[in-house]
Amino acid sequence: MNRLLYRIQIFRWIVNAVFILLLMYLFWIQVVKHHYYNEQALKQHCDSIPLYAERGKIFDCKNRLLAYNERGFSVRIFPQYVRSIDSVAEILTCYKLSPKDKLLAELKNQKHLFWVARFVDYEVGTNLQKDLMKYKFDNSVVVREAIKRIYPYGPVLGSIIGFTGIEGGLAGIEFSCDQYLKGKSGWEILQKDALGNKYRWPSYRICKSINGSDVVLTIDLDIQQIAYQLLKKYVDNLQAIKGSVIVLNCEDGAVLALADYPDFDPNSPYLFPQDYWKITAITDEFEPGSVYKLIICATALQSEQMDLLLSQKYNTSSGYITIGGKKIKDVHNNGILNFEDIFIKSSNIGVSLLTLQITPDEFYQMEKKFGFGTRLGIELPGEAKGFIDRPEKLTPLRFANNAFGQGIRTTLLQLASAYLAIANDGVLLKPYIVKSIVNNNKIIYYGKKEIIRRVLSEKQSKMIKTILSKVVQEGTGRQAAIPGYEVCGKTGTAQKLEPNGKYSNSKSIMSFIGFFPKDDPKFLIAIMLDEPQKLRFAGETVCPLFKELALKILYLNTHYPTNLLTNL
Amino acid sequence: MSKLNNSRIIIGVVIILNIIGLVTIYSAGGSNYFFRELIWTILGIGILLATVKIPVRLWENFSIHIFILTFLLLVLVLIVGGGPANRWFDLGFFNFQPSELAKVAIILFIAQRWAYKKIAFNMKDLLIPIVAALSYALLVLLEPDMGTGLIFLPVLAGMMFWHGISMFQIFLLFSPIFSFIFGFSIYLWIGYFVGFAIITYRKTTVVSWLIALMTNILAGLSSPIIWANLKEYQKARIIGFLSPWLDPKGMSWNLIQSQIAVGSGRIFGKGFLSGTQKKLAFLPNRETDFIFSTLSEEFGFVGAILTLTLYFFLLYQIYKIAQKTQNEFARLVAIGIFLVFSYQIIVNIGMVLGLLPITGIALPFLSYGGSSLIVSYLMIGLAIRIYKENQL
Repeated sequence: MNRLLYRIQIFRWIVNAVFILLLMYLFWIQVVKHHYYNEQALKQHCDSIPLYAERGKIFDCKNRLLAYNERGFSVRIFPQYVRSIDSVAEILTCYKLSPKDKLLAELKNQKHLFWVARFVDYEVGTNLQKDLMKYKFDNSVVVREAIKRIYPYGPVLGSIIGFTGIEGGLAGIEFSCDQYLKGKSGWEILQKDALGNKYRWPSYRICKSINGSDVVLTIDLDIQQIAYQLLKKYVDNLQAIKGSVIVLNCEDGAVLALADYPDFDPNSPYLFPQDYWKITAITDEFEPGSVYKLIICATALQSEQMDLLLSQKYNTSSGYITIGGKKIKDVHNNGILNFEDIFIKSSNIGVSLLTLQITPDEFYQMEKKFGFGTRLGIELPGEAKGFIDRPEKLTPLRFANNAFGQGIRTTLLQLASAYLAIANDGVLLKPYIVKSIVNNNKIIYYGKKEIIRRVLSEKQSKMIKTILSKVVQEGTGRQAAIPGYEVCGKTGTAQKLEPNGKYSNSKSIMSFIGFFPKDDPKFLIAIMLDEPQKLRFAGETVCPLFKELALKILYLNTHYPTNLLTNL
Repeated sequence: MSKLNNSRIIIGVVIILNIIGLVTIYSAGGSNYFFRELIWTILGIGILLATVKIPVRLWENFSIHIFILTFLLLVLVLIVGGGPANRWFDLGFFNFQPSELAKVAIILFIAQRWAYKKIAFNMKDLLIPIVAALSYALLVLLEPDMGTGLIFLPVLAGMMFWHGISMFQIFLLFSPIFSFIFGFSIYLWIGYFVGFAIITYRKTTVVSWLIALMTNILAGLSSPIIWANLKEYQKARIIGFLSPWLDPKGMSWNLIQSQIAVGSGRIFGKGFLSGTQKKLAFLPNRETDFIFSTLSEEFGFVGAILTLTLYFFLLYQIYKIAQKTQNEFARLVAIGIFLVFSYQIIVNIGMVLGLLPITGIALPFLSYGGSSLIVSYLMIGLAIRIYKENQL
């Protein structure tokens, strides 16, 4: 029986041992290694899904929508899962997503995922989705929610507003204000069961997406549309390569319109050459020509010999002047001129004579004061700096050339803001285009008048204003005159450099920058046309454009006496 | 006093376990499962109280009848049975599983065969229980119910050991089964067979030695033949059973998910009704075979330990009854009950924790299922009756 007693004990000990083993193993799994198993559990039944932020809208200064989002669907196919090519093609052609032949060919040849439509309307998409579910094609033809950016005015605001790609804004305001527009996408953790179904679970973490802010521009859609249409008309009629128009509000430097032509449609930017995407008025540098004479004029008014310069006469009757071994000519023989006449008649000889009595350094300081050679800092991408010569490089010839706008490069915006300084009694303003940024009905940014510096005294700028008004009244800018208004402005006809380094006789850039009314300027319009073919001078090409635009703006803003308007 | 306590303690422990089971079933399966299990619990307690009233003598007298009746039921269920496999009779309100009853029947039968034959065994005394257990095992495996089918032979071996049959004899008797298993690999089998022949040569008569060798050869030969005649899916199922990690989405899916459930329960658990593994349907059979992982997930290490301790305590009480009983039949029955419960608890929890292959066996008093619960109560009632008779 001893043997049996020991056997009886064995039963007990085996069970004891096994239970201790189970206990230890439970301890191992549940206490020691619980992190690992917990992680495994979380990994398989938690799924994080992104919550997309809605991109902010863009408005003009009168709250008209310039860019917004539309919900719809994208349709793509995994050809490897398509059971019946014909029926899939049938369904998709029913919805007019793609021509049947093309679709059939694609279904046969493509081996990997391809897009049938990047964007279809919401209604079409939901119906298609239902159909696909019904015929059980929803695993091979995937209909997913998609968002499309819509630009209702298309090319009118193409370059300013720009467009977006998958990752955000790629051009224009869409690019420069991307960080405000895009918002912040969030995520949500959902519970997932073994079959892949997902459930919301109240205690799970969620990071809500923050919708993008709306951007309100200073652009006035009415003026923009007029400017765009007129520019388009003139560029087409004159067979110019390109053209730009800027309309600024003289009081605060806000950009009311900024049009470029050739244009592109931001709804389908890739149908246009990339070159059309840029905002020519701020990205393209050009030799401004006579409009730049403003600088030498201002320099003269500020120099120590101002009284002498103002009182003396300038003899241009020889028709040319030789500086540094080179002849500088005028288009017409203007005879003997006084100071004002140099600018009214836009005499290169007169300007050259002025440069002989002014130091290059004074001129350079004045250029810099007006903001040439630096960026103004408008909220648009790709602003160019322009180029000005340093004073030590200014030989007499070069100085004379620079003074009438050759050998330096500026953007149209720089020129416009320089004239804006005159309109504003000598104060240089920073032009701006973003009026406000609004998030959730809260204004988080407010664009306002920003003074860069005082360039000239009030008296000096008044004198320049008088000269500029005479340019329009009796000088080169006569065609820009508006009956009943005193317009200040200056023309520029700059010969373009040929590739061989010489100035061309036929190709030129024509510009006109003007503001009105003289005593209390409201609008400034800067126009540039590149290589108009039909006419030779700015006075004949750009000035009529200015006048037409100015009149329409006046009419819009009811600044213009209607009785005068009807007489036109 | 202590005499009375013993039976009360057992009933108390069992009822606590049953309540834990009900709570977990509610969490895992919902109120439908809960209420059905509750009805069976009441039924089970009734059966327990009734069994306590039945003298052990009666069980002994009817053991052969019970054995034959159960045998017939096991055959019948293969023919008319319902359910996913032919496992149960559909009685409308209740699915009766004869394989659960078979556990009791075989214990009673073996105990009756051996009760008055201490030590002096002849071949017949050994072979009849073995054939009986094998026939039950085969019938249940045919259903197919792997988990329950595998319980009969270990219980038989345990009862043999308990009754004093020598280790060598037990080995000799079970050797054809080893031979069958080794038969899947010819080299392993040759090694086993040579070893077996040498070890057993001196210890038996030549005749029984030769008989043993013959049965071993036959068993060893039958395994490749059976294997060759199996259908592909049947082979796959066996391979999957033997090495679950080969098939991550099949067998081992359950194993991994169960381990994750237990492990992610941590010390205090995720809380009642909050088990994510269970709720999100990652856990298979979460209210039946894998109820212990549901329990461990929601009530953590603390809950699991409490349950394990209760089981340990229950087994210990039954063991003590078996140890102290004088009547040899009752003694064998008690140890049989002990073996059945031990086997089910250890194999189920071992499976849930990923220590043992998945065979699908109910955890007594916890797993959802009427037959299992009622038969468990019946066995407890039997154990208590044995205890009480022994005290008188």
